[in-house]
Amino acid sequence: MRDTTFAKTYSEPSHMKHLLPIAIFSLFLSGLHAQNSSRITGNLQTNGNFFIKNAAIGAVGLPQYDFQKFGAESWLGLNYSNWGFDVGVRFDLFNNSNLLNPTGSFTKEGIGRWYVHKKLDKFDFSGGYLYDQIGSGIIFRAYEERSLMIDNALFGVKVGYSINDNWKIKAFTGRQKRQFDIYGSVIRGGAVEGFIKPDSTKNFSLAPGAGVVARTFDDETVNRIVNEIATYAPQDSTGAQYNTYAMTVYNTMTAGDFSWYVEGAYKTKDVLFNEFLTKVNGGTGKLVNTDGYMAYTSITYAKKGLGITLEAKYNKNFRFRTDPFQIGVQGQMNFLPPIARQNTFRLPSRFSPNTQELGERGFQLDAKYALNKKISLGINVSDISNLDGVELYREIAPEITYKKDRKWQALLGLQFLKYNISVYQLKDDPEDVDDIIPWVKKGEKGYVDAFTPYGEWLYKFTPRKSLRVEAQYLLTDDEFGSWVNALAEFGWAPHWLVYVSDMYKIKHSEEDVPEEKARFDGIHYPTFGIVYTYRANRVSLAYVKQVEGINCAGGICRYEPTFHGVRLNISSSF
Amino acid sequence: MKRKLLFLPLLAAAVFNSCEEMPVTIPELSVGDRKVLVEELTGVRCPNCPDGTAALVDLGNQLGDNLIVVSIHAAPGYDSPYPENKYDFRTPDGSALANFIGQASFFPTASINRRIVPPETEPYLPRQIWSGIIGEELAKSPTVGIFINSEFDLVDRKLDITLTLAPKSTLSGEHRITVLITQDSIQDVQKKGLEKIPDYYHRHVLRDVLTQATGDVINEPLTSNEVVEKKYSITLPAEWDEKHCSIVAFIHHGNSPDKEVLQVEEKHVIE
Repeated sequence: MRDTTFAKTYSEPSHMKHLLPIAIFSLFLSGLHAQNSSRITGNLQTNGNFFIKNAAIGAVGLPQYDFQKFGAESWLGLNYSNWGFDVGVRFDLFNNSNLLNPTGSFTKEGIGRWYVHKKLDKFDFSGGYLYDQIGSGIIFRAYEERSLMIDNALFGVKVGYSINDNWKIKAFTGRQKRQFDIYGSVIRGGAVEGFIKPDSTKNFSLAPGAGVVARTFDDETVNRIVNEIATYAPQDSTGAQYNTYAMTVYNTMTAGDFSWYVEGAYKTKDVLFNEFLTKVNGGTGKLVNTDGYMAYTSITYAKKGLGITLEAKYNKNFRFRTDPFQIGVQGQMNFLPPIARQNTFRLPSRFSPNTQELGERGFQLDAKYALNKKISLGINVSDISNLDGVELYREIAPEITYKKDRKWQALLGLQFLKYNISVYQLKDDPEDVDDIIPWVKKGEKGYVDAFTPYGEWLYKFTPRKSLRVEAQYLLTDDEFGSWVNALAEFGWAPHWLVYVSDMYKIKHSEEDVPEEKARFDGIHYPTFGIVYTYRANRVSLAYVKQVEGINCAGGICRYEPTFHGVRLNISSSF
Repeated sequence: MKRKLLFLPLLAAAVFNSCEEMPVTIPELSVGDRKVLVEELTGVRCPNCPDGTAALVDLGNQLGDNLIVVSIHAAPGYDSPYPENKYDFRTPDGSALANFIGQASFFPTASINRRIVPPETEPYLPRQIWSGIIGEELAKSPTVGIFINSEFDLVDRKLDITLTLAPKSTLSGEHRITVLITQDSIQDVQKKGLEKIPDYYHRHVLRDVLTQATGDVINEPLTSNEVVEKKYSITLPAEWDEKHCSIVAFIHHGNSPDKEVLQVEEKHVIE
């Protein structure tokens, strides 16, 4: 009999842990009726997944399919403002959830966040679970990304001070949150940010900033580092220290139609795990103690009918975690901006690059030009390689949009893709000899070379009734081969939306295709659903059959297995 | 304004205080009576698992008999054999054992004495942390001793096992005993990185569990100065090379989430 209890032994008594935020919140609410200036807001997000076993597509062998049948996640947040105070509390619930671990099951509920904030003259005080960042987040970002179960809130205090109208300074300290627990390492830091506009009559300004963050390992983490390094051969051995410092300077310059952001960061010696290094005994991966640096820039030009953005970045050893033994999306203290666009259509987004913390360099160009009121052209080009010059990702995607009055509009695009599947997904790709798209790339082991035409057509029957149709054809002989996807969505504003889609795995024409490569051949992945929206409330119910793949948000990606079942989503703001 | 800006260097000084780091001393590796059980979850299709196994073999070379490894071929999605595999290392007991330990989300992965190490929520731990946790476990004193006596009949291939459990102090609460057979150095196909290795040596492969996969509850009181004896037997299938087979026995807790292993012992079927 399988055990389905996953409560952690090391948790604090939950009733004690929850008393403080509830008491604070209640205290403020008790004055609610007496005050006219008070304001209470909230939001709810709930996901319910009903799992239906389907061995043909691999929807089997996980607890949710085998015996749990249902999983849910929910976040209910309440915020209250009065007397210059802001307080908030959020209840988080995970029941048989596969969000934390796509192949596992996580059950726990409790207070996921609480905070108190007070503005007092030029000071700004915050305490509790705080979200914040310095610059673009390269040295520090405490944020939440629910689709990937990232909640890196800093459990601590922050003090801000306005030096004048244009200059602000802040300092903070705390420890990083992980679900309903806290990591051991202590984080502290600060930043100063300003705004300079020498001539108010001219469109020229600077927004400079600088920040520093320090992380101190706790004794337990240091002991584990020491125990790990003690097993290394002398040639692999490395040093370690308790403290690591990261610092950054950044600036946004706006001049006429140009905007230029630049940031440079440096991190002192840090113990981090490098999975690409080989030990003298032949084993792969070891701890190293090294410094790191990163540069990122983004230039935007925008004028009527034309918009161009050029981005570039270079980073080396900029993995910065609250605990060096954490993997995946866990324990990240910073956020390295992605250098490829986040595709929204299903097949062009099938192969998305995740940021390589240990080293990558790349650039991205995104341009849009309106020829006239009806036709606009666009192109996106991104290219990423590792620091040894090995190509990781290249995407070239031209697009054309045509608008026919207010009645309909169409978009057509092409995606030329080169994706290093051996680095991003550790998957083999041995069959590149007869690549079916030689103009993309021919015959390179370890890469997915794909060519994907895609299109979207939006037709408005009336101002309230519309039909949106999209279709994509992913042409490749790599990974599982070619796919086709189509979707039709009927909208009846302002309340109703119904949609139906099907993703189909085109069968291989050859007979001697390996079993692994052909395992999804001929399978349909239909999805249909209905969405009801009323003001700030949204309810959607859908039957979903979804192939395994990589789910990305903001350049951070992770593998997600096949899904088959019914999804219920409710979101509400009040 | 200028006076206010004087705070900036003060703040920077506070943040950078003690920038001159005292390096941490890396001690020599040392072991005692405590033995550590590593249950590695693997599969012939798991491309990164051989790296994990290599790390465990390397640790085993350093720690000797103090490290006991069991490789369970039950990694979801990675454990089904290739058509060219000679053997199917999966067993119902292996799957039950793997599920009892917990749920794995990454590979290579292994549980170290089935400890849940905060902030992890499952006993399966990433490779980076194995050495550190093994080091912590080795530093503990064992609370119980396990002694394995066995007799193997080369003709009928019957293996009789007698375990003697000797608590160092009185152990209260429920305790369980798990006994299993492993076989080392089996040559067969394994995915390693981007290659399929046809003659890969599979190490410490779990072959069978003689008790329940969740462990047999020890009904006898575990008190100091008194020993508990347990007997098990199995007939080894002909395809198992007895020269590479070992008996692994361990005492552990069995109530979720605490399944921690108190002590483990290993003995070769043929010494």
